[in-house]
Amino acid sequence: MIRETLEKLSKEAAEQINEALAKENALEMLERIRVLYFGRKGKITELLKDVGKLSQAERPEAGSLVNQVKKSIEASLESAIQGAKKRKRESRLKSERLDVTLPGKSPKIGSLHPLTQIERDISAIFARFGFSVVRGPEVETDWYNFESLNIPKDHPSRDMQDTIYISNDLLLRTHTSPVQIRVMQQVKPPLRILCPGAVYRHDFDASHSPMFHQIEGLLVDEEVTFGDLKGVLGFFAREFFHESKVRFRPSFFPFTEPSAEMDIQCFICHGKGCVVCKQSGWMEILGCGMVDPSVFKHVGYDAERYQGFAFGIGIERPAMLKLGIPDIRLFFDNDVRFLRQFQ
Amino acid sequence: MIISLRWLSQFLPHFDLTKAEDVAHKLTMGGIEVEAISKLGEGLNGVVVGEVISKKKHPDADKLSLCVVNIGKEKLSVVCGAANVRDGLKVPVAVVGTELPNGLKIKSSKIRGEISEGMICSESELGLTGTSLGIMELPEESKVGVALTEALDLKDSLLEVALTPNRGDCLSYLGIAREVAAVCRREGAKLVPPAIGLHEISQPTSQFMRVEIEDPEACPRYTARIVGNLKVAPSPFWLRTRLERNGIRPINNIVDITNYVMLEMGQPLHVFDLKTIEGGVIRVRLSKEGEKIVTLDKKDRRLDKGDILICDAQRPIALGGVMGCEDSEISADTSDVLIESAFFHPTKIRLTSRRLNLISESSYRFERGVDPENVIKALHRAACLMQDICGGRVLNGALDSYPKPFKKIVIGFRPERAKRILGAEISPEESGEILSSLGFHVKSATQDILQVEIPSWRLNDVTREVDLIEEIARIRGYESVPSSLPGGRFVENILPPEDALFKLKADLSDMLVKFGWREAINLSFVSPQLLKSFHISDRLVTLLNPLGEEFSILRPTLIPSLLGSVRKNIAQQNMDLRLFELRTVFQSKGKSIDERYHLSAVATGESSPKFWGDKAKEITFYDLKGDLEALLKGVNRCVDFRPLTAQVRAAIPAKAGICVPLYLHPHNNQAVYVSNISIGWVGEIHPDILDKLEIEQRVFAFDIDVSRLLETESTKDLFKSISRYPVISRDIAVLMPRETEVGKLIEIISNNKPSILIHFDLFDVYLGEQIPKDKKSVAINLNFGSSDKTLKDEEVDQALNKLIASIQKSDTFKIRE
Repeated sequence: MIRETLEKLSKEAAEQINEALAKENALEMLERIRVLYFGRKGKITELLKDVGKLSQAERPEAGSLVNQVKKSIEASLESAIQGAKKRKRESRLKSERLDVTLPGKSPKIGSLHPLTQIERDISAIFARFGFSVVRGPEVETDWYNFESLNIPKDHPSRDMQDTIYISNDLLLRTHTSPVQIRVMQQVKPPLRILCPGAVYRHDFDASHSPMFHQIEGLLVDEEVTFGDLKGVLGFFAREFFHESKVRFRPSFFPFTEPSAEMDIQCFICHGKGCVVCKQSGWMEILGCGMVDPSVFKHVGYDAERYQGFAFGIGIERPAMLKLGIPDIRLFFDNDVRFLRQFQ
Repeated sequence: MIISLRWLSQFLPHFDLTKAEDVAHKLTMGGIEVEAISKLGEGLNGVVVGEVISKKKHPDADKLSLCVVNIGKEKLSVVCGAANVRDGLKVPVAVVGTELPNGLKIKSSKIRGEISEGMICSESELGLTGTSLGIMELPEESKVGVALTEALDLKDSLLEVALTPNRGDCLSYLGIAREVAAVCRREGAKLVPPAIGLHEISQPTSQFMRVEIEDPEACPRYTARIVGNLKVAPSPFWLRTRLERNGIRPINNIVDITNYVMLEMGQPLHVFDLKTIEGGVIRVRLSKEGEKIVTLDKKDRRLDKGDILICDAQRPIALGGVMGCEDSEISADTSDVLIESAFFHPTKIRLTSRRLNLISESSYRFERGVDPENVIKALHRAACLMQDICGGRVLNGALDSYPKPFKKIVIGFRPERAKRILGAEISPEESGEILSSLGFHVKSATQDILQVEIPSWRLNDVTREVDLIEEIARIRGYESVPSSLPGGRFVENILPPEDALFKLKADLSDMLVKFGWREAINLSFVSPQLLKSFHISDRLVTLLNPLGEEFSILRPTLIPSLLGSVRKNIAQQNMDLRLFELRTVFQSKGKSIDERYHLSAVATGESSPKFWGDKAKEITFYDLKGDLEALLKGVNRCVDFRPLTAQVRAAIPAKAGICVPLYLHPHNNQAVYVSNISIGWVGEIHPDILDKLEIEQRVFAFDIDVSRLLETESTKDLFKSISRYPVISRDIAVLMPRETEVGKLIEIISNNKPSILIHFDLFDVYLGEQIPKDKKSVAINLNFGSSDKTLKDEEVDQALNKLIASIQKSDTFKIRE
């Protein structure tokens, strides 16, 4: 009797599960089937209750039969649920599919002006020697810009710099060197300073802008030699241009003695000679020298005790060389097609 | 200055100057920079001197001639197209097989049926000049058949030397020769100065002329000679060539000799026609205010007080050291001349030359200082050349007025000091040797100190021990100093505000870049017209000598030039822009100039970058306000925005007196405050301004005084502990009249903030059908929480109800259910 019932039940369950699997809401249907058979009043649950009512002799066999069927239905139900779950996940994955070949969404990122970038690069190199950054006014007096730097009025050395004046005594600084004087007036040695900033000259063409930028450096202590100057600036050239071949040529600046120009081996042709270096194999990079004793005198330093070196680097020229920019005026046009090239 | 190596080698017969690159390198590394080398006569090997012996018209071409040219060993038929070809002319002929400097190969050919066996060349075809009209005409005395390089003395190299202003002594062959002798130091090899072989006649110069110097300060030395019975004529070919190679146009033999000696010895000379000098006297005096003269260039010159004048008994005959006067000039019938060689004070000459805007070869040398002892030698040399070249007779004795002779200067040089400065040891012996090679005289030498006498040609520029150190270092070569790194003491003296400003500027720029802004740099100059269109006119800094009207004012604000950049970019179809600039602005403040750093930004167009998945969004006022808020928070400042009233505007530093409001939109603007200090504004540019600039889209901007911002307090808080208890979130919607500013509502909430309200966000402003037409609904999310317990719903409700009551206290606001 019970055997027949169980057979029927198990056949019914198999049919119901198959039916459920075919449906959209298969998981829901399968849950219902589970309740139908194994719920508190489920068909199998009821059967187990009936088994309890049988005589002791009949119970073991009947019990084992019911349990067998129970396990078999449970197993097929479980595998049906797993299958249904898998199908559901698969259909979700399919529905979520993107066209990954479409372009991504970039954040908006701006850019620093190339001159700011170069100024920072240069400052960072000298910061490693303990140079700290100071600034000075762009409008200077004749004394700070010229007299204190050993460039007297009515002297041919003033021809080296074509000045823009505001009044007889006030002018736009022609170099960052007056900052040296302002700092030395305020503090006693030792000192290591770097003064970046805008400077102005009466000149305008493809390689001269009336406003351009310099970085002035000054190191003063008791034992500083021309050899130290060569070492520090050679280090700079190596770090900034990745070019370690430098040469120092004697030159003239009214506020340094001895004075020198530093050239680096042309990094375009590596010394063979090209258009950029005008066939010389060398590029003129900066002017430098040992601080002239008369400059120390102007700021009240003892020139027998203290000595030091100073240098001035134009920012535009190395930037043009390094980035391959042909015309200095591009820096101040602010064309975004130019600016966006320097992220 | 140009240096011909052929000429230079006359001074240095024992030195090897055949390799131009070598000489140039040594000079450059010794401090005399050679900027370029040009080698003459290269590629001219097959070019010879020919003489045109006959010329006929080409039968088939109007512009061509058939010439027969004698080149010595043969006669060639040559077709020539130049108009200036004629019988008897000496010409350069490139024979068959020659390859000219421009790459042209000469072949025997037929031109319109006529045979041509070579080519008559122009100067440009020979690479001698850039352009030329017609064929080159050679001097009559050229020998037929001789190689052109020989005929024109073309086996020469020219060095282009760039001299620093301290080296006036090198503005001559003699000076450069001294340098070469020192940098190419060779045992026993000495410089040979130009020869002076005078054959004076017995008549003394003093019989005809005397010299009176009124102002020995302005003219410490004046020497003169008379040469008579001269014949004025063109100079010989070699002399003309040398002058031309140095860029000086030959005039006649007398004038050419003065220029030649100037190039040779560095001493500018002047010659007067003796018959034009009245009263037998040369008087050197300073000009009086308003005196008038006519200089050699035929220009009327009005003098100031204090120019040096060379006068005769009656009148000025030259502007001393700068230029002669027209009426004492050498002319074709001149037969007797007075040669002047003098020392004029450098500053005097410079002042005169600047004031009259008259820079001559002579003034250029005088203002850099000539050699006072060379004055007389150059005089003799010029007289000697006039005697040899012009057949002149030199009168006996020179006039030499030298009231205040220059003193010899002796400087002590300590090798130990040189070592301390250079970082390289140089023995006293080597130091002495180098100094001697440059013409310094070592009077005495011990291990500790050398007593060095300065040569007369370096008195201007070598005045101290350190100058001697440089001389030794440069001749020995900077390469010989080993590179080292500075040790030294710890630097305590940093200047704190500067470093802080540097950091603040870097922080602000970096953040703006992250927010999508691009840094711009404009020139510091603006045009008055541009400022006028912005209604800016007060306290402007005007330049005395600007590059032009449009560069004549130092900008008092960055905004106009930034808008200029916007306009230029829009013209290039770049419509979506965010540009900022962090630079100096200038304002006059009494007699001084106030310089401050400002950060200004302008933005327009679409919010970039474009994305296919989003709708394009226009940049709005709120983009700038939000960026500014984040920016100031990023540098740890407490920012708030207030109405930009006229008073507040005036309180913005560096803006005082400048009419900021007039270029801003009358409604869309706010003042920016940090810790109760106004530091700038954010707003929209007035459409009137945009119309003037022809910008057709809305532009928003902000402007911050960074110098002022630096002075405000940085409010970086210490760490606050994070609450372990949950946050309870509630939303409210407030109905309010459309024209009422939401700021009022925010103010009420801030002023009545319950202690358990952690923060609130405004997340929606609704206008639409759900609410009356004249109202707007503002939705706010409120977050409640406590750091020491979990809040109960009732506690939150109570706090919220209290807040709602405060909001509804005014009839303006009503909570939407």
